[in-house]
Amino acid sequence: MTEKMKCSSCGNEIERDVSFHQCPRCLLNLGFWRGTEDSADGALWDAGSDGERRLGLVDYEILERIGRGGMGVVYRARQLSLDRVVALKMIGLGELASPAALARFRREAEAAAKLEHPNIVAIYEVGEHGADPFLVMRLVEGASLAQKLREFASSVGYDPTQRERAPKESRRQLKIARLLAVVARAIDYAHERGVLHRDLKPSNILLDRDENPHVTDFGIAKLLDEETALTQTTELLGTPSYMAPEQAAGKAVSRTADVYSLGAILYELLTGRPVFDGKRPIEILRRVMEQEPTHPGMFNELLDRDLATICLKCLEKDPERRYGTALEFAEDLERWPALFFACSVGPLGIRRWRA
Amino acid sequence: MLSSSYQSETSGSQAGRFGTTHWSIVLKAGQGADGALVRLCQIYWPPLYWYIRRRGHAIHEAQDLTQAFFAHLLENRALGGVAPSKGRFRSFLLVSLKHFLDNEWDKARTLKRGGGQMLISWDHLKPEDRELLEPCEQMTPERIFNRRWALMLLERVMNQLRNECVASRKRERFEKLKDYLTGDAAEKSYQEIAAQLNMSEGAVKVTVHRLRRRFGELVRAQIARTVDSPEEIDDEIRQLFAALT
Ligand SMILES: Nc1ncnc2c1ncn2[C@@H]1O[C@H](COP(=O)(O)OP(=O)(O)OP(=O)(O)O)[C@@H](O)[C@H]1O
Ligand SMILES: [Mg+2]
Repeated sequence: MTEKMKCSSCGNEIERDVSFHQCPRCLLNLGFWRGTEDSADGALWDAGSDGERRLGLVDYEILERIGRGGMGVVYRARQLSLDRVVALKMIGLGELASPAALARFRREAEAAAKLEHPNIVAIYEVGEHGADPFLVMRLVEGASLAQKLREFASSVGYDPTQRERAPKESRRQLKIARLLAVVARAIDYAHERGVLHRDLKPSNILLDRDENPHVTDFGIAKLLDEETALTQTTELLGTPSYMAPEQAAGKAVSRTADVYSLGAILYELLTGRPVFDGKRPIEILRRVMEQEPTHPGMFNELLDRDLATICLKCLEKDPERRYGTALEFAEDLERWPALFFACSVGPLGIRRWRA
Repeated sequence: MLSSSYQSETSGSQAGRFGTTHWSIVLKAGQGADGALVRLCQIYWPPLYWYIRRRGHAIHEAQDLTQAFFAHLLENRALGGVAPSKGRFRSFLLVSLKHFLDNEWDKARTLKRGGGQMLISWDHLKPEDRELLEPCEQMTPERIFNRRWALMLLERVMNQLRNECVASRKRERFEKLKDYLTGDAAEKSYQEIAAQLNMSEGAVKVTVHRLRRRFGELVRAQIARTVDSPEEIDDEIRQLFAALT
């Protein structure tokens, strides 16, 4: 048996079960280090010294945390070189995602970074910090649709004694239809450039102060995709409520999966409840794959029938029966209020849809 | 920068929110996202294994039980039912493991037959296994669990730091300087190392300083993934420190 080693710093013995043969207490102690001295930047080596490349985050000063999602944390940060405030998303999955998944993530994020659209959050930089990828994007000051869900759904629940509610309710439906049409056009723009979103849900639709929507997190869900068959959790407990059935089943997805998610968001805004609910994610998943959605009119007597039909068309289990493109969906939403108001009392009866 | 930023985070708004990466992966297991959970097992098995060993199970039985515990986590879609109100990932695993050993494992053992999958490779558990347990002979199983947790964390951080250095083509510097993470060398050895690395002595010292700083950041980043809020990081470091004493 060999002599036990002693730590040169604290003098304690280094036990035999310490595989790295250094004093674990002194190492752990380094964790109390706080970056106040020099330009604490998380970089190991100076940029420029020996022509080293920088380790990504040097240029950003983190100001505060905005939110946390299933895969990481989003910060408000200042980009020092350009003196602008940005949103910085650290993806904390580095070691849990396979190298192939990380490479794919980078490719996807780089594809998403090419999208330039007023309703898509611009990506400024894709980088890596240690094993963890990060994304720098435009900061949208406002709140996500997830945070505003209640506000949008507020007047759902029709009480027949309150007739004066009807006009307010039609204004609400109109507002929702317009919002979704704008989002759908942005999605169609991305689809036309070969980028699928794959994880459309209220928390990925950011609303600026004028309530214009900005879609974010394009393609990012794919980080875990291949090995998980599923994408990721929502803000709270991983509700897969917005996921298309074929995606839930782990099959290949196309743009119609995003169309499904758009419909699921529309459904929730109109009725105040998700298309499928359940106590556990697995229950929801099963329903997504097996059950037909309850007609949204069941929850909202004042819901226009045509709008309900548009919504349900997105939620067809068979991708072929949905809108073929997000644009078609947007166009129907845009046409809908004209029909709605032309008839003034609605409902219009059932329109025929293209096969 | 990340570590310093934790101080400026707004507390409260996210307090009690359940959403660290590792937590959400456990939750996702309830949805069938097994790949990531398998990776999680591969990372976190050692403290669990040593805990089981300390409870008196022999090597092979402890291996089977560790495996069965993870299989139980994977199979038992009831994970969605784990109350995720708050708590550290470390405590969650320990509590679940205790519960498993006390109540579930006979059931799991029968369940596992036929469908059991190998999650962990035991290849690198060497025969000196017994020797590794030795320093811990007087410790309670919980204590061992926490000690092993701390050692596992440090080991991973060390690997991460090594990888970062290798990625910046500084492997040699890392290998030569890693022993000084915990304390300075005598002036003479710094001079020697400087000569070997073809650097000035001052540059060597700066590098050591940076390595320490980076090590600390990585420790905090690792811990951040297993606690509910950044405010808990310091406390978690203290608890792990206590477990090492
Ligand atoms: N560019 C941005 N500008 C402003 N706020 C943002 C930006 N990106 C994200 N956020 C905020 O940060 C929160 C967390 O985002 P993140 O994408 O990490 O999680 P999520 O969308 O809620 O869930 P998931 O990780 O499952 O996608 C969001 O809810 C949103 O409010
Ligand atoms: Mg998001």
